[in-house]
Amino acid sequence: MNKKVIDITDLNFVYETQPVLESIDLTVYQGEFLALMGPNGSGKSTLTKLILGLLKPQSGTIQIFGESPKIAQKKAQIGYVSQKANSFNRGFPATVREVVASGRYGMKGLFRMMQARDWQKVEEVITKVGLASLQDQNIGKLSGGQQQRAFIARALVSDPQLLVLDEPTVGVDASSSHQFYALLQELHQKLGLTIILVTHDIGAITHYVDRVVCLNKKLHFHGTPAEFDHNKETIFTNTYGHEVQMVLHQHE
Amino acid sequence: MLDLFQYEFMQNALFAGLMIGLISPLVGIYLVVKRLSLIADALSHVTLSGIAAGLFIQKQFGLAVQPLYTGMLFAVGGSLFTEQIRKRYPSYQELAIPILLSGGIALGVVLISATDGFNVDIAGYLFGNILAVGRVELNTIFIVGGLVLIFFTLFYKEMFAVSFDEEHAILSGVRQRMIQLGFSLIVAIVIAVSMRVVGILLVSALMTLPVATSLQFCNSFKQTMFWSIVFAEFSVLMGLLGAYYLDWASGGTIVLVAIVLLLSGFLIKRLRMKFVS
Repeated sequence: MNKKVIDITDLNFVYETQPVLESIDLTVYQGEFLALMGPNGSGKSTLTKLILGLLKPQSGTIQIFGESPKIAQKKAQIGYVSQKANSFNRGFPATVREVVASGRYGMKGLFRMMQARDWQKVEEVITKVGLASLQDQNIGKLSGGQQQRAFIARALVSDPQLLVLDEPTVGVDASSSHQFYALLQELHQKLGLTIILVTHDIGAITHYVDRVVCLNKKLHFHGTPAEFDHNKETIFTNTYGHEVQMVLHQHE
Repeated sequence: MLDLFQYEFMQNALFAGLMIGLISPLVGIYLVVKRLSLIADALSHVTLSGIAAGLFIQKQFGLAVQPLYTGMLFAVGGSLFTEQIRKRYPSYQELAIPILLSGGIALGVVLISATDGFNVDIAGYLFGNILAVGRVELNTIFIVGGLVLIFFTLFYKEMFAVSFDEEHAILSGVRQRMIQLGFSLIVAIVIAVSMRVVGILLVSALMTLPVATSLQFCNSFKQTMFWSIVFAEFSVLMGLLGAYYLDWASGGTIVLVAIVLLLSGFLIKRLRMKFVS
């Protein structure tokens, strides 16, 4: 089996007195494309923050590449695309290239200038996400889907081994979302990148990912997309409760 | 025209103006994109109370304190206070502005009335008098200017990353706290040294108007920086000429020229759109 990228054992997280995550066990292997699904308030964002090292668990352990998340973060092994990335100041005077390059600034460290090699990397990831022809455009003038690609490029430019995306398609139309998922799948296949996609977008992404994890305080399901499709109804009842299931039936 | 610069006071004015025209928009661009333009205003009012404190100490205790230095000291204090407010009221970051604005004026007015009342000196600080820049002040402006240029050269990457997306910058390992603190101090000292040239009440205009003009047509950050400096330098030079030939207040002239540039930008944009369609 491949190397462990994320290894979580018996993790608990309590916010004030409210338990947010209870006895979570999760292992993600190198090269996996995993979808982390759950309704709003299910603890997805908390789990993401724990993986990124922004929060500390009350009990249990979490290791990224065999080390604490903070260290992994420092070594720029994690690329992150936040939910809020899309709510940036649209009037900001910066080109796609300038924004993408900024993803490399943290790892360069203080007092170090960008070298030709760094700019080459910037060029490379911009081409990879298909924005080569738009790299000198102002970022605010791009469409929502294109901006998302730019933020992926910004996350990729520091050569991370793990890419974490927190609800990246909120506010992006359906067809752009599908293109976006397809891009992720391509990156995953071509680069062997480990990807965790956090979403409440039920089911839409199961075509693209290797593994599905459903979260609502506890892990309610953990398996392949095929297994997920097979047990959809039970999973939804467990994860989302009865109301959502009704809505789901109406759609079918 | 060049022979007017044979006078020492004109040379002082020219060099001081050129340096201020360079560093003000540099600071301004970050304030504008972070939507903190008003901080400059608030800090300039605190600087006023610092100046007044300097004049007060001069008169009461007969100490040869440079009002510029006390002004700078107060501005730095105000800047640190802003940081504290921002930490204490994370969702009301703009609270620092009214506190500093009114507090600065209040203390300034009290100290001024306790000194000599409003006189020509005070008017020079309020509205700027570029022709009155002395050697000592010129040296201070150049030392501060040098520091500012070094700061923005060394931390260009970090300043850009933090301004565009603070959360992402922190996550990707940028030392945001240190940069933020350094920037606050830079803003404070730039405001303090700019006031001789543009005046306390008008300092923020030289920081923000050239940036606003550039934002109309610039795509990239570097381009915006370049044109902001060009517009600011042009405004300062016009202000200097206005002060020399027409005896106009340099600060007012500088700001009016900057506003004319801004409006011309609107006009050109509109004409171009008409022309294209």
